Amino acid sequence: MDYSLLSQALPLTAIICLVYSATRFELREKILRSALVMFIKTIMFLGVLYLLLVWFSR
Amino acid sequence: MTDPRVPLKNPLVAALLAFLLPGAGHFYQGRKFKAVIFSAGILTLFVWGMVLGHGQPVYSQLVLRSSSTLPQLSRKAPPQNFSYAYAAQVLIGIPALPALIQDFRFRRDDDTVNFLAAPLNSDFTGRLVENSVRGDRQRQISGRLSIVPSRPEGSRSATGTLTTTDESGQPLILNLGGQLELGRRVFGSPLREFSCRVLSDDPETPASEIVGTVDRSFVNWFQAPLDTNELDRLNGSLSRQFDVACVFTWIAGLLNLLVIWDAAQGPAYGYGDEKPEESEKKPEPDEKPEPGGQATIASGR
Repeated sequence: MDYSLLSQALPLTAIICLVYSATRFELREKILRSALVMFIKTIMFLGVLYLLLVWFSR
Repeated sequence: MTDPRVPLKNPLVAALLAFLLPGAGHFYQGRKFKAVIFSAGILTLFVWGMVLGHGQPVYSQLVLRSSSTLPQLSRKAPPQNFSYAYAAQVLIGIPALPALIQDFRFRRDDDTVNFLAAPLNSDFTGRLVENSVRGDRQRQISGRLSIVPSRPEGSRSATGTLTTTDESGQPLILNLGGQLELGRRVFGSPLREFSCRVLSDDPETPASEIVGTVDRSFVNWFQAPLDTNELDRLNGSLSRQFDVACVFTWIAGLLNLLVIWDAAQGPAYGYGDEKPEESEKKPEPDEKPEPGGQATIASGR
């Protein structure tokens, strides 16, 4: 695994999720909860995609 | 309709401030928590991209090469294409606006090509080309360049010295003089093309010249239009990192578009404490439908 890519992808995903969620809601708790759910879903999706790409590139 | 609990104040002013600086519109409206998220998040992303790209991912125009002459050395303003990526980057506002100012300066800078306006002291990196009947001989050199124009008000010829080392590592001072080639002052590269003839008192010494680059000041290369040569150099030295840098700046600009919208219209989904509508609630499994419902279904309504 490319750790430099991971050190860029994770903060990038976190910022996108936080900013996007903040533009959807006004309440602090709702923003943070929505951002966390979106972050987890995105990372899981990217992780599955990455594993598929590793599998097909064998 | 925007929730009345969201203090939009003057939406146009808020949107303009949000465009100029991420989070500024929300600070104006008193929505401090979101203002901190937007300013810290988006500006961090943009600055991170600029650092990764060595300050060069943002430019508004790509300079095209229309002849054998390098765009930096073209006395006539070379043709340019608008950089579509800039359409995303400019959305971040003030941090990306210098690119427009640099484009304006670039278009009015033709007179600076091959013209030395003031004494130049800079590091030089390039090669020493010795012309002889047997052919050209080149070797890499680097050192400290110091030249002055032939006229105090500036000229296309200059005299000076290059302090370097010879092939055995011994200090060497090369006397320079004559017509020089100097890249235009405003260009999107920290390296400015330079070449000048090397003077020699010994008639047996073959004619030679130095060809390479000197430093361009930050004010003259930051967010200025650049050409494909410079892009190739960046991609060659930074590889994938330059692509990542560009993507970071695009995303920062596009996220600010959402922020501008939020400043003008409020949050897209509402305040965040709304309950779902009664009609959207699904019936519990043990609830029986009302008698009127059956008649309604039978009548086909």
